[in-house]
Amino acid sequence: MDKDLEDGLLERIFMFHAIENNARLDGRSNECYRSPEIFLGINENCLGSARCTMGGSDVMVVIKPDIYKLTKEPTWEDYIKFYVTCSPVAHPKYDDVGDDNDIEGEEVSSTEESIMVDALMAMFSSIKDEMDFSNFRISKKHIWTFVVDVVVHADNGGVFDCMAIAVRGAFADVQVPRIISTMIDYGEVGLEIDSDVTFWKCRWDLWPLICTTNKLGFENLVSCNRYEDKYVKSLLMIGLKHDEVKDGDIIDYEDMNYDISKHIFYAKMRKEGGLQILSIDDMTDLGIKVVLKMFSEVDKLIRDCLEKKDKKSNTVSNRSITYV
Amino acid sequence: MNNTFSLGDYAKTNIREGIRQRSDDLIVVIPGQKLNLDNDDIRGSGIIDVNGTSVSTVCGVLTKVNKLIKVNPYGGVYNGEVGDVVVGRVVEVQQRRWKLDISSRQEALLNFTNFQLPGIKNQRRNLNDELALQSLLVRGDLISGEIHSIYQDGTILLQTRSSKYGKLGKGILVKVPFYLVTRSKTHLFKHEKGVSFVFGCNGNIWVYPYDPKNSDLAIGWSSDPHNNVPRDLMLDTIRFANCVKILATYHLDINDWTVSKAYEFSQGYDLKDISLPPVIHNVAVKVLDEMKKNGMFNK
Repeated sequence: MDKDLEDGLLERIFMFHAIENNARLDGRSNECYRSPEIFLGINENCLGSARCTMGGSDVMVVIKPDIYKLTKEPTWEDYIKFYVTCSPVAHPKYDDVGDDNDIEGEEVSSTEESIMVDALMAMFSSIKDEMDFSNFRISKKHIWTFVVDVVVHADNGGVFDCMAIAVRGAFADVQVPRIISTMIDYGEVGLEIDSDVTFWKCRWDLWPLICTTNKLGFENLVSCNRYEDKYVKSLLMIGLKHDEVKDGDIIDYEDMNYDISKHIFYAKMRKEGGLQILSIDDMTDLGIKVVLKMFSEVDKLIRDCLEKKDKKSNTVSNRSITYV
Repeated sequence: MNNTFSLGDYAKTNIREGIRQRSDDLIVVIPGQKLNLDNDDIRGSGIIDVNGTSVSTVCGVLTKVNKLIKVNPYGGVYNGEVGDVVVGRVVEVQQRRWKLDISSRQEALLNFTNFQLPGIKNQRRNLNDELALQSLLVRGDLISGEIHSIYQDGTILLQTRSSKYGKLGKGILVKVPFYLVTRSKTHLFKHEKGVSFVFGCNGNIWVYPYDPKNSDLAIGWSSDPHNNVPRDLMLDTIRFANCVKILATYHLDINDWTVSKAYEFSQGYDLKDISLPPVIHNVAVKVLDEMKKNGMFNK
């Protein structure tokens, strides 16, 4: 069994002293994040899927579009639904469902899942104005609804960052068949798949990323692992919107006149400790710097995966032509 | 960063290569595999008798020492043996003993009478000492010790026989699979850079800076919380700990020689890059080449 025990006093002091010298126990500096790996198209039974591993944390996102029949005019909340599951083997703190506890209190996994759903709704709420919902509408009564399932397979810190990257990748992978609505007698509406079997894609570059900035002593850390996360008293999660970063684009936070109030959509303080105003400013700056770097890396990884996917599809097409 | 690099692919290739090298002399068995043993062979752990036929029960390597045949598992839970040096964490303080988590099936026990205080020798324990010892080690503290005995029901009893073992101080604990740490005579190793190691047989490896004045004590640098480790020594400790992680990632044997080699090869990289997959791969491949040169795969 995996016990999540606290360390001894001298062990903690050694770690704090290392962090004060800008060297963490895995060698990174305080502002270094762990490089993500993105895999698209991992699940063939859905129309879009992605998996992101980031320093031991592992999040899988699966998108299953459904056709819903509505009786009223749809709002933006009807187009995407989010569900989050934290696996019990991801972290010992999630293995608390069904525990026979006499002490009343909410389960850690349920709390974490609901906070994640709130973060995803905040992400979607921030981009609903730029998103084009015309493809989601099939007829006056039928719409596509994207059911987004998020599963946390491993939690080694930075799960919200990992989840945001995986959602961005999943929407890059999604392909929805085009549905044509036809009029049948007596006012009924029939739905047919286009005979050309064409697909439409979502704009994935709208989806924002999240950076978690942790406060440990007087230092600000990004991308804490599970070991450091035990001693974090307060943390600040920054969500940031940005367009797709092309190759060669280098975003430097100091050089650009960045309007923060128009792009930060999510800021959440967690854990029991408080934060001073100056710390919030420093952590916000650090979070924005790291998120802009992550945008460059994540978008390049997504484009590489999409390029591989196109090559694979072309091979299948050529094989079909050969048989004919 | 090289985006075409994938740690999983290189790890698979490397592990396959390593197993291929080892499998010249080793026999790898799987559960349920029939073993054609001689009649006078003694079956050890990992082998059971089914209808007169010897069958292995674990995935591992078949080893034979004279008449004793057993299977050393490549996984599973650590089974203690008497005399092993282990590093464990206190999970409970009871009336006269501590319970330690050493990654085995049961928690190990450390009696107050088997614990030796530094500087105090050959004294009997009485009630006042028991009350004082309860607060000496609290939940979460790390202890290094030897396995004193193993009872019939599998309970492991530890002891700290000398001042080399005992409560551990400032340092880094690295958890590796237990089968990577081979049993040897030297599980306590001092590097010339000022960093010491405790290679626990249960896979817990303690990397800590040692004080030249008290170099034989288990506490390491100092028991004073305000006595800080110098910066260079601390960075070396962190680098050594990451070298142990590199060896564990690529399933290479972990002993004092391989850790020293990994440290030499990691000197060419910056400390903040030491956990990047390309750096891990380069260091591990160099260590693997050195192991091949020194004949560590031809026993």
